[in-house]
Amino acid sequence: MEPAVTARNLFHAYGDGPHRKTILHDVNIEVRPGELTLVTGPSGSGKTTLLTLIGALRAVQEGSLRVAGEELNGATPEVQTRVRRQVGYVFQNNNLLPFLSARENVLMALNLLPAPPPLEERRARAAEVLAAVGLADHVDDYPATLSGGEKQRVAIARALAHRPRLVLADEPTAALDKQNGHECVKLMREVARAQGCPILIVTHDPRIQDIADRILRIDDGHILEGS
Amino acid sequence: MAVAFQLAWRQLRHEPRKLAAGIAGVVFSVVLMFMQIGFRDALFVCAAGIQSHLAGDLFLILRQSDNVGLVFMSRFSRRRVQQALAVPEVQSATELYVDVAQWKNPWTARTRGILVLGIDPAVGALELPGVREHLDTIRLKDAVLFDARSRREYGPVAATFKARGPVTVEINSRRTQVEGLFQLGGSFATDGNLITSDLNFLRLFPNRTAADVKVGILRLKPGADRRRAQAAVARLMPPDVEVMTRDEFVKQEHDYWDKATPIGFIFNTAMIIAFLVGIVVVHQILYAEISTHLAQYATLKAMGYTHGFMLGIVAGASLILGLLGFLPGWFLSLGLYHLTASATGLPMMLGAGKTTIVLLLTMFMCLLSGALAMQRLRAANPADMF
Repeated sequence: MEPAVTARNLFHAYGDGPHRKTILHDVNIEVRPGELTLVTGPSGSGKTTLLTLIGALRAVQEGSLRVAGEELNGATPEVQTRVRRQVGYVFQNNNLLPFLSARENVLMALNLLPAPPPLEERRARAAEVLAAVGLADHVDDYPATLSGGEKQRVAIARALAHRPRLVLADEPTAALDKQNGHECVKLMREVARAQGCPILIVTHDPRIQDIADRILRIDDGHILEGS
Repeated sequence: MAVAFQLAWRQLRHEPRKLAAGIAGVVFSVVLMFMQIGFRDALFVCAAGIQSHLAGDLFLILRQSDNVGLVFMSRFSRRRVQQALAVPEVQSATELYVDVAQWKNPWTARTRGILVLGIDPAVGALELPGVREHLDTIRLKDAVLFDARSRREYGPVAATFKARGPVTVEINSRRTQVEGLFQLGGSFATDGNLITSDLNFLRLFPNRTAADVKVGILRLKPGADRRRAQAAVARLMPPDVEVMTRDEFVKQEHDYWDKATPIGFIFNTAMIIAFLVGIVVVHQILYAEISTHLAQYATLKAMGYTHGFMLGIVAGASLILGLLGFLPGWFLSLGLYHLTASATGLPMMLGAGKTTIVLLLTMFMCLLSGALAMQRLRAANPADMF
């Protein structure tokens, strides 16, 4: 089976001329199904750039990057959108739509399925995923009435509900206390494992390193493979 | 698209106070537009009040080098009017004399211009309530009919007449009797009207002669083809006499006030201002709405929602604001039309035509504000989210 992510000789730089700064140097990685990979490294090391490239949120400049079976170097906006729909995102802030209930926020991901099942099935699926992250009692609550940890769990449910080929998370625990943060990442891993979906987490947080299958360290744009 | 529309509605409803402010802005602009368009229409109807009530099918006037209103038109020879009888379709021909006289208010002794219309009492070419039954009255020497809807600056003539009968007034320094009332109403050109016979007209304006007329009024035989008759009369006339149908005659008066005076410009400017006020208010609301939800929109884009979907949300929100503002605005305007009509006597009518125009303008206004606010969406860049 093809890895969810394959990067070959990936370079990326910002700026032009004398101010040009290379941020990724010859990155070669593979992310295999079911793996939870942590990407760590100091600020400015290029880990966030790598994540936005993999998420098809930024255009690839040089090298090859295959995500969910599509080559992203030279990808058209249509290909980018197709890839984005097969990726689940968890951001540092939950970014839930405040005017929709938890279930409706999760539905926003389910609505984008290539062949969306009937609304009743989608609503049931949303409730099921919310229950899996421990929010069975808050399915129809609005974000304003949920705690920070609960909101982040809704965001995790939203990222996983449509059974993505890959989950990308950026500092998902930064806004949470230690216990909540740990629990969130554990939940993410459980649900993702059940779906055979790999997870890539960019983090500074040393408290969650123990749950990783694999740790990639980036320093100054170079990948130093960890344990 | 339905999903985008639904999201737009949920988003607006989520903050009822902002929604109310947006709706209030649209209502204000809708009412302003309705009032402007209503005043403009009512005043134009009044301006062509005389033309609309002349009892005829074709009208002769001196061809004007520039479009002018009835009051300012030059006169032409009465012979031309009688000449038109040579056309077989023409049944009768009569003249209308028009001029402004000085009316001295008998209560205050102040003078004020008043429009005097002279007609042949044997024909009675004006179809106005009160005129037909007084045709014999104006045959009397120095007898006039007074427009009961003239402005009150002319004095309480109508009330006095109803209470005590004929009122003696001085018009162009000539003692004259008001012997009856009719209903017409003022316009841009005049605040009040009098009707009298052609003979009395010449008594009031001694330096005019019966040979100089302002309008020739032709009545056609029943079943005659109006266009053919118009062409036939035109062939008979020298090039300086113009033959018009009633619609053309009314339109000429409209066009004069609309285009040759600042009046059209003033109303158009007010319409544009009302439109701009709406754009500013709706744009404010939508722009703030987008700014507040920028991170969420960027998240939706990262999830695979297209830029077009985001545009759909903004367009949906602007259409919702437009519709929610238009309905109360329409009802409010209906009330204001009634108030204005009863306070000023202007024929303010809120029909399907005006409703359609203002509805279209409102929706266009909201979509334009939405289009402007969409610029803000470009800032919703999902690459900045991580």
